[in-house]
Amino acid sequence: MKLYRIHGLLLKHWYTTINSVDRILDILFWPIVNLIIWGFASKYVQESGAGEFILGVFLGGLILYTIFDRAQKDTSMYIVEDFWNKSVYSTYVTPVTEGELFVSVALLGICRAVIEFMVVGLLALAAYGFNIFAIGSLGLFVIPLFIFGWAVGLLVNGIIFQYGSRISIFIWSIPFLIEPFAAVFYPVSVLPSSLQAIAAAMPLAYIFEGLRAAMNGAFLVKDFVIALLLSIVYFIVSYALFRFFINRGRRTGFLSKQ
Amino acid sequence: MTVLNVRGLKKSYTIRSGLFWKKKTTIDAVKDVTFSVRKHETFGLLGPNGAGKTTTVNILAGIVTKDAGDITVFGQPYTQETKERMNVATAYNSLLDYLTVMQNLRIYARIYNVKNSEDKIKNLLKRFGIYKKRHTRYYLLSAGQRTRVNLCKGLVNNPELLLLDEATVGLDPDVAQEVRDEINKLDTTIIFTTHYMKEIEQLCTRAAFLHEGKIIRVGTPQQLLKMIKEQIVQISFYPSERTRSIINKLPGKFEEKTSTRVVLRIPNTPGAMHDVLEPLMSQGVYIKDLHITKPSMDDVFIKLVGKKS
Repeated sequence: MKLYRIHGLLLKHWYTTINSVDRILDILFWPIVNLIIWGFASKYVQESGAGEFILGVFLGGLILYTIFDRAQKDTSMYIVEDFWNKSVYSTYVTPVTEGELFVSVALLGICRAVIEFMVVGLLALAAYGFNIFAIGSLGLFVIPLFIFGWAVGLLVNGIIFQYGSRISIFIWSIPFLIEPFAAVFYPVSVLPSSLQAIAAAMPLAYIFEGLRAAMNGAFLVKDFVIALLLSIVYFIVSYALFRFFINRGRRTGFLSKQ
Repeated sequence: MTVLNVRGLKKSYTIRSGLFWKKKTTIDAVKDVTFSVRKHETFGLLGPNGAGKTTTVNILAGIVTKDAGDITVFGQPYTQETKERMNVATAYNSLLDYLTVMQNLRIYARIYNVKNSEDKIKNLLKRFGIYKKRHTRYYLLSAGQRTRVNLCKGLVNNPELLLLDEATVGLDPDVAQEVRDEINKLDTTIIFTTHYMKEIEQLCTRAAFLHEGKIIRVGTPQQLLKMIKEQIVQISFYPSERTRSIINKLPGKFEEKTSTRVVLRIPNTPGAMHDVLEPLMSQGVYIKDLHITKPSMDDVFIKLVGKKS
């Protein structure tokens, strides 16, 4: 792994971002829109007698979910960018390795997620008086959140390396498919038992249970450890699949035709 | 010194068709390709569509994996790291559309760890006559300008081995000639694939003809041209009895003979042309027009490939 090659890829992602209005806006636009909708909705529920806690559940869940969402989308979008530009050949004939590709998008995802988290967090504080920065133990839950985001992003990339950019829709639809089982806005216990089994296999469910506990001042060590281990397992499997599909693309000649 | 050694290269693709019970068809793109390229040589790979040229280049570029065979580059087995000293340019690939020419080239300069990259990029852009377009987005460039930018990308790391796949395809003749002139000035080892036989004569020190995934002939353009044993002479003259009798005695095989024109097929040897022209000149025949068609790489191509097809 060479740092200058990662720097070269980061330069590519940077130029892609500054030359694309939607790449700049998507850090802020959707999170802010969501914050406004869920903020007012939760304020209404809170004022209907649901208690102080409900505002934190909705806004905390929303803000934290942006980290997973950003890590997953950036891991996919900035790698699939080459398919959209028909520049796959130009990138993959260079000495760049799969590891360097991943590190570059992971670093980019961290930067963009931090910006997004800070802006939305500060806005939630200013608009609704909800201070996510005060929930100190959340910092640790951010780690499995990123790892799982990268895992899902790499899995989507693998599928695109197999079937081409015509299935790019997965980049945006996968988070919506995962969200019901992630227990972002409600505890796992409200899910039917069959869906609870799926939620049990999702690191996100443990992370958001951890968030709700953290808001009460508790830190669920077990949930954190399970979330971290599950995320690592998913990441290892997804990275292996990502490499497998790239190598398959080289074997079948698919990459050379993109 | 040998820069590239390719031995027994093989590659086949499996194509699956059908919705549920997929039928598999195997296509042998490269069956058995062996060649070596020396330092500072421009080595041509040519052949008809589907001959295996692009697959061979793609394997060398590392974007397609081989099924069998050995590749040695710079005296070492081919690895991801040897790609640092190589580069590729092809008319068929693209760079990032919404980025400017400079931004695109800066990315590749960084990936290849090029020192003084700004100066290097600017010099390349000036050399290929597109410096004025450096702040233009890639998608706004013409096909010719894109080809030049792709060549700049291919040269950004001063590659010791440059792979050029159909580098001039789709260009206007004058632009293609300018690009060929620039390629001719390059001080590096080049593997060059093309459909245009003229380019092989102009650019290559040696060339290999590929057909159905196999190399069927390797040689310098001169050696290859020697495969064609004949040249064609067309002579136009004023009609007269005396001229006709002189013409009738000319050596060679008559392809066409009228009262004012003959087309002769004569051996492609140094003295053959003299044997045709000497009797005409010495007996004062007034030649209105003379046209000599020397053997070309097109003829070599047709002879080699046409016979096999």
